[in-house]
Amino acid sequence: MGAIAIIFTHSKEETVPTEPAKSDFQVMPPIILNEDADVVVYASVEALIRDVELVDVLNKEFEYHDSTGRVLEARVYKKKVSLVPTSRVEADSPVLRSYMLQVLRLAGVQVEALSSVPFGDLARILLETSGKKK
Amino acid sequence: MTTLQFLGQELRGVYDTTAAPIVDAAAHPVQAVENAASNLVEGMKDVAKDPKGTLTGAAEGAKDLAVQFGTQVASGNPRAIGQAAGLVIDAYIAVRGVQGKEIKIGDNLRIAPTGNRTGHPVGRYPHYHRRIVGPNGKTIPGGSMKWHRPWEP
Repeated sequence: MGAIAIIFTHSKEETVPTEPAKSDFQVMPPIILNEDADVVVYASVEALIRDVELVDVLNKEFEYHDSTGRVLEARVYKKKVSLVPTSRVEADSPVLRSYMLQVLRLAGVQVEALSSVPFGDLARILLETSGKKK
Repeated sequence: MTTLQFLGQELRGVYDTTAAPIVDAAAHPVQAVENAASNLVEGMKDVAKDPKGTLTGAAEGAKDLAVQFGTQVASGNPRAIGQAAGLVIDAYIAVRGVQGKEIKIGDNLRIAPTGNRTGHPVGRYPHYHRRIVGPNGKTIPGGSMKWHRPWEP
């Protein structure tokens, strides 16, 4: 059987620097991060950014919304992450709502009464339930 | 028994499949070795400096050799398969771990054998990230790559 040589080499930085864009919209905490059905709510953008890894942001593993359902876009500039509010609002997204309700249900919350609760209230309940007040 | 050369050092016998299998080589032998080899080469590119690019071709050649080797042993002894994958991964871990970097093993698993984050309560210690998907292929609650999962030896 032949021998295998493992040799170091080098590649260019894969990250393309993108300066955080300015937005006309305001971010309204709490902030929702989800990767499919795994939904986590943070009290602030800063708390969320502290908790995620740069590589996951670059790989676009997550989606981000504020408490109004506004879609936030993650930008990376000089290895720093920022969330920029976009014009898109998905407060009525049944998929996201169902994910949030599923997490609450797993946390022991009676979700039957929450089906018509406004999106922002649902986010706040999720924040309180998860104890992620930071 | 195959000899693996890593920076001129012979790594034969470093990996013991009965002690600490890292990938399920028995279940996916060819894929495991190929992924390990591919990740190894990609990881090495981040670690070492090669301003003249003279090592790039050699590294790609090493990857091809590793894949070829993996394919060959995959048809034979499962233990040899595990050892091959393990040797490749061990070499990778040795470099990435020392530098406090994470090691990607496929799209759904990264490990940080020496931790990598200052300030994060779990991330500063050895941990891993694993994506857990349900039958529908979607990430389940608690299954995100986001979570720093503590290393439990």
